[in-house]
Amino acid sequence: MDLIEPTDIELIASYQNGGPSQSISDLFVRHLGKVRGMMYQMTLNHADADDLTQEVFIRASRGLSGFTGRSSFSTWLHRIAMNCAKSFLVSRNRRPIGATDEMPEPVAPCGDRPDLQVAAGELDEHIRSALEQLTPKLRAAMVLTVLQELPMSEAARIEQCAVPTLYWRVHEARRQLKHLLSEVLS
Amino acid sequence: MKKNKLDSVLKAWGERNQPDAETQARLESRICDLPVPEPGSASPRMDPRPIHWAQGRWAAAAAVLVLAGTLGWMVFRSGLHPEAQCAEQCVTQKLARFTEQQVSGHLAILDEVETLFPGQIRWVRLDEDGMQLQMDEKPAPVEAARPRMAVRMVMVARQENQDHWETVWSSDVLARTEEYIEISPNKGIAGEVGVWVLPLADGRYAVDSEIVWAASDGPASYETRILSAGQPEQILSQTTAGLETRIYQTVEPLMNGNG
Repeated sequence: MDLIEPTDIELIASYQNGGPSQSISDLFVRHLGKVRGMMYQMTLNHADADDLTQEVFIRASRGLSGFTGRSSFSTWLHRIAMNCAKSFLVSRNRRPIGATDEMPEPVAPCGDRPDLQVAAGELDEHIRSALEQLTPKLRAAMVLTVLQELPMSEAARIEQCAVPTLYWRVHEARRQLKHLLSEVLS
Repeated sequence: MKKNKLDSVLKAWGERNQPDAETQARLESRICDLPVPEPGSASPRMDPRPIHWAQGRWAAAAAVLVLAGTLGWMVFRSGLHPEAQCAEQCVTQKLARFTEQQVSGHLAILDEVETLFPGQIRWVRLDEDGMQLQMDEKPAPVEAARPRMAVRMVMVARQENQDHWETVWSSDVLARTEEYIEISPNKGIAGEVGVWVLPLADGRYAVDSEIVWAASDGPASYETRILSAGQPEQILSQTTAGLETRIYQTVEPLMNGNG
């Protein structure tokens, strides 16, 4: 039994050389959690995040045969994901006011303690509401650098902007979030 | 530190909102069931590779045809309709250019409000509705003074079959560079405009713009552009239902006094 997992590049090479499609499934499943997390952090809606996650991998599967490894697969996939999320947010923002189908998101599970569950639910709603007030670019900056913990240079590559621009976006997003979440943070 | 607390609160939120095992399994199943295209059958738009010669011959031929067509069209237009071309470019850009009087007037206004509210002015917005100040509640800590500038945003529109452009919306914002400016347009246009300007070492400006109009057919744009001082740059062009819309942006340094 081979204990060493193949790298992303090896899985892609296997696919590009006509190997089994299982290699692609393995590759996608490996990155599924991160992409799904990012889609939720951008859309702030679980159902939309699920649909967009699937869309991201559809786009990735279409483009994978042309992937050459000039950036890491992860960076490449994140860029697809961010483009998907931003397109979605723009189209969602264009819906007439009042036509959105925003429903409170289910409270996150928090063990057997109902009191903690309620508190976490309230906190989550505060955070969700604060993130929702950020523009897509500012939200993306926070998602990539703080929540996904990517280095600034990689996040800037994904956002296709200069590193100082990204620094500023993070700075501005922090400023707005600190204001919006001042009660939570105090 | 507050910064760390914010990050840890956000990270904990991110972890709490990871999908549960059931959702994860359902997603895995959806992803694994995706049809995987044969290698080489991918959409060319997604292909980041340099094009190989076998494919490249056709691409190059197509590019040459497009280029030749474009050049031909430009020569045709410039030869037969010089005024029309100017109407499209000069007139619309002229709308976005600052005059000397405007620059000195803006400088005086910014000097005045910064004297009245030292360290508190984030930006000053000037348009036909008057003047609006965006201020911090408390004076900002003393820091190296960032250069001051005026940013003009102009939206012009015309019907497709007309030459004359009309200004739909225009706003001048006076601020220090690297200040995030977020404004809502006036004249009943529902939307948001965010602008951030970073001065570059070569004297130009990196301008990050985010434009989202609430109307379903309104323009939307996320752009990072490099602008030369005083030179209007078209940051958006869109035609919807026969109405051609453009947005221009100009950055003008405001250098004098405190600048």
